[in-house]
Amino acid sequence: MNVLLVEPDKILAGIYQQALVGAGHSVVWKQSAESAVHSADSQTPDVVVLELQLAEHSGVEFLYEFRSYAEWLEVPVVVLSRVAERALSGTQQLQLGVVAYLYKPRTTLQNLLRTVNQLRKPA
Amino acid sequence: MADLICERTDLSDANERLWLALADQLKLPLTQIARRAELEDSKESAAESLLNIQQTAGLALKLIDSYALSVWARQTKLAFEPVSLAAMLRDTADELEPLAKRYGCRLRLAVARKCEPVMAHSQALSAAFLSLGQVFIEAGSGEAPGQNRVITLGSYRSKDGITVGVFGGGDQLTKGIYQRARLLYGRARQPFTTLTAASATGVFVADSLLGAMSAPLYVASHQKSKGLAANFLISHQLRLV
Repeated sequence: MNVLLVEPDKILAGIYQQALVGAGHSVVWKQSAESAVHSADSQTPDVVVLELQLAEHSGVEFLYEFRSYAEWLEVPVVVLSRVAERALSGTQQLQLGVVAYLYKPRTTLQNLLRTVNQLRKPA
Repeated sequence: MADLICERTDLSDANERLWLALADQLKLPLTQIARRAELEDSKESAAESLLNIQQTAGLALKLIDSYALSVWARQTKLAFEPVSLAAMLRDTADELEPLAKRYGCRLRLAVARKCEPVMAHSQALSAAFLSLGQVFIEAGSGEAPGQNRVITLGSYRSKDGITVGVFGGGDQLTKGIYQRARLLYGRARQPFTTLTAASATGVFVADSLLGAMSAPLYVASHQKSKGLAANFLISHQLRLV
């Protein structure tokens, strides 16, 4: 699957990227909400793995922008955030197509891979 | 008496806010360590991976130490001594170099001549600039190698004495944004959203340490690069020694 990874920290991004690529996914890493939208514009991802706490525009702002385009409405989003408490209500998550909310410090790479792998479309 | 109570409440509030910001900041290095240790098919060699873990843990421990020092510094009268800014900045750059390399940033030293010595608490000054440099490095990395910033550790003569700071924070770093961030730290997860996605605790730890030396941080420019700096008075007597 094509994964769009939106992660502000370069080192963590490298680690997640390596794990996802190792599991057979191709990954595009973006550090900001703005560059993530540009990236999705050039190649629609199959899944977005998103940190909500980004510099400048937040992940929530990215989600609203992302969902405002018809072609991206069906793309599942996995939130992988350092924010412990849910920054999005259950209703918001449903509306914005957030399929999983993972708390980063407690989410192992295995958990992340399991969550992303479950989103594979049947062949 | 009322003033004393008020002062203690302020101090305790400041410590608590700094503590909250620190707790949030430490999630980053600890998550990096936990996830790196989990990575099986690492491109790095085992020795390289261990070195990275060691460096990450080392800097996290230094941040904790700097926080503890800042709490202590505000409760005691610091003993000042002559400090060479050039040596302090060089040591700081040496300590930060591995982190800068991992984040793909370039560190630069720009120390003006005849800028020393200044009277300061040596340990507090080093801890402040190490914490500050760490924030700028983490904030300064980019997606592509060409996007990475140059972080300058510099000192220069100014009308207020000797200015020493870390520069490379981008054009959006303004006096107003910094003032707002100072009001928000410990209360908001991202007090410094224009600079970094994290809690930027190193900035407030540095501000607290430098504040204890009556040299609080402020937004300054050096060689067309914006950053955070503090002013120190030059010791003319010491220059004669």
